[in-house]
Amino acid sequence: VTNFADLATSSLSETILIALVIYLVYLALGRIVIAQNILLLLVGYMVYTAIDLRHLIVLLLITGISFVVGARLPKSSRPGLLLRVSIAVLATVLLAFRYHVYVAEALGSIFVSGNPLSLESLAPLGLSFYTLQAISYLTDVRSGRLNPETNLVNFALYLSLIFKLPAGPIERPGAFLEQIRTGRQITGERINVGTALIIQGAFEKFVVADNLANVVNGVFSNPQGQGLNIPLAVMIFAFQLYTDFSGYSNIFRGLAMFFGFELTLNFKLPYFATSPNDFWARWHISLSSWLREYIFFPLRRWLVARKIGNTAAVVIPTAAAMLVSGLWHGATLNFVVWGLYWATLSVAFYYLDKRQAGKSGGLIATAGALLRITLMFILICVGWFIFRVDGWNNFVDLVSNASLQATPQTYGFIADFIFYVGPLIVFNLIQAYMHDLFVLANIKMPFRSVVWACLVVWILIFGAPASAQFIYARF
Amino acid sequence: MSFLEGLPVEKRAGMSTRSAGAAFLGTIAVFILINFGLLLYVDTYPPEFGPWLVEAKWRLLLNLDEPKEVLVLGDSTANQALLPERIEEATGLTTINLGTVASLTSSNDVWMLQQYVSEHSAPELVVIVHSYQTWLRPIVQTGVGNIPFFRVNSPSVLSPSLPLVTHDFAEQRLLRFIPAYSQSGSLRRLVRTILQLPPDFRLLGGKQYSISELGAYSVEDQDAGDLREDIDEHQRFVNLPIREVTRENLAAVARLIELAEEYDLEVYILNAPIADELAETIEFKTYFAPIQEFLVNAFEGTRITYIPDVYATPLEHMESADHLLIEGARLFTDQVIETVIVPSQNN
Repeated sequence: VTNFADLATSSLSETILIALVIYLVYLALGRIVIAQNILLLLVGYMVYTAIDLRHLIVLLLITGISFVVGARLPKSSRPGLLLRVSIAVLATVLLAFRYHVYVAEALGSIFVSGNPLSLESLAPLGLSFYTLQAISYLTDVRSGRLNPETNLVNFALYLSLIFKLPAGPIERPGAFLEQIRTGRQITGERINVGTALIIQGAFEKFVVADNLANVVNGVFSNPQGQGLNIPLAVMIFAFQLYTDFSGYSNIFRGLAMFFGFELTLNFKLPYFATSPNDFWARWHISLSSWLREYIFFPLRRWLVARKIGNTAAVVIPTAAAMLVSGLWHGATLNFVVWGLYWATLSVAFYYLDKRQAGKSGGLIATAGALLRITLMFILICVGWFIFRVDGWNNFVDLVSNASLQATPQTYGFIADFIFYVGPLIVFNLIQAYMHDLFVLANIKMPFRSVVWACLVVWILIFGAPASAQFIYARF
Repeated sequence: MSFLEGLPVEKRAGMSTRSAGAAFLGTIAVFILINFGLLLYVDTYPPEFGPWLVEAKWRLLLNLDEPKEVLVLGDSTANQALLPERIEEATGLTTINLGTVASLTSSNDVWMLQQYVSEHSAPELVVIVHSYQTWLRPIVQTGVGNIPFFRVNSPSVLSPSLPLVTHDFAEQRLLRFIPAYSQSGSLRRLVRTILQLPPDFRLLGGKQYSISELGAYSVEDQDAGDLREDIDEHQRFVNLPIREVTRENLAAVARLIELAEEYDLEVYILNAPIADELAETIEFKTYFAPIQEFLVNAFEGTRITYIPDVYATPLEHMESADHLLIEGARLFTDQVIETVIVPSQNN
């Protein structure tokens, strides 16, 4: 029989106290940058170990490989080969965990789920994110854009800084290693913006995303007789995914600012996008710019250098980048289809825009921003539908049950959507109107304090009772 | 709509640490003000019965000057099923009903019993009544925040015998004073209801609830529509896959057995009365059987007697599927007096 003592876990107050002590020590270390870096590295590793010691082993392995190879690259007689081999090793580790189901089938019972050696149980938090960072580090060192990092602590911190470890952003090594090496300044501006970002992120995650999750999960897991609820759930999922990931990004970015770090912005009002390219310039920016820099442009340059036709030089890199994006998100077919869907959209819009360039007419060119945004949002939702379905049977169930027929639950879903997403849309419109993503941080005093306090109360009252894991921490 | 075009930027306004600190502290100050207003509001106009009942019953326990001979514990079904005045009248045994809500699980029985024995002599008899669902429920943390811990014996005395499930004592003492957290469920429902179309601002005035001096809570009238809906809801529930007894309840059962031994207590655990229409279905019986079996086995050979009988009650006596109207409570109380309290006195 369970004892009461077994039920007691670390309390919120203990966690806050520990975090405060760490922060005070960090501040006390002042300008001793290396000591601050060691502290942050240890904190990251401790949190990681607390989740699962085996996760730390994978992180250390990738850190070790990248650091050693990075140091060797400039001296190597065959740097190209060394880079390709090391990327292959890193990609193999990532793919092995990403495709663990297939690996398990291939390798037999030792890797079956439930076995302590199962790759599923070993799949480390944030692996996809820090592997991409390791690849970009090695690629930049090879190309001469970056000198290899000679300090292991600095390099390890680049890959495993706690504020970006679970789900990014995917930081480019040059600027970020510079922040790690030279130290950070905790300015008034960073504290102000950091607080605003944490509040905004908590609102997005706990009020919007977590409450919408119940609606979406209910419809997707049981599509029978859902009718109009299915297209509604797809639209609601679009906001759930956005607020879940944006919420995560804002919270962790805000926390990082308290430590003087500047993390890459990941979202710029993505649902105001007017074309696929515009969408990818606004959605998961750190990943899309990584894909652009390390997949799209190198492949395009390679094709152009070989005088391969213009069409191929557009279609192939776009398709490759989008396909990699899909595969990066998951091993199942829907992610591959999702990648291809975006590749098709991107190419189609590219040619559509090209044909209309210089012409005064054309639906797309002359359509108002609102129409383009609406059209794009529908296309984005189709993409999210592919992204969200759980296998072929689920896809068929959802498609065959979707209709315009309302059910008794429909009005509840609409009410939930208006209640939770409405304020977010208004806020995003204000951000767009002001052309400023830091609206919340830039409100004049004393209204700023009033708005922030009201939001905190709103989060406490309307935050979902049970918070779901961040969706992107799965990728 | 041209403002919708083009990528937004992050406009950074240079700011001194002092200004940022002022905004930070200002936020805390405004939050405290809002919180104080909410605290006043929920104290004056309790938005929901559950949190109010938890607080009212705990206050009753904490203000108890004299010990009682019969202690009634359990969830809201107990609160509405046993009438202490009737027990006193029939048996001459001083009685108090401390039944609260199911969301605190059987853990609350343990906490109240421990609080009671820390201040008074052990009661002659403890009667615990729970709905079948209570054994399957996890504890609701925010519900714990409704317990007025500032008056409970100090944590050092009660801990570790009275630990909370995931939060520590000091935290709950604090969170209790943040109704936006501890009563978030009630406030959420209140705001959502007010904002529905058409809005119903009358709800802002809250409801006035009351219990008798001995903790009796009476419901006179039945809403047939609500009753039907609740029975249907239970019928849907018992058709779902059978859940296991939650760890909170497992721990509470273990601790109850210890307490009964330690204080030489005579404890009876009863099933809440249930609408006959539901109780007689095969689905309910199938669903309930493993819970009954668990409780029989758990208390076998201990000082605690679990009575597995299902008190199937005609619909006319039910407020909901497992909550009695006052007339039903009278009949059930009489039955408990006859089958549990009097025989226990004779032993």
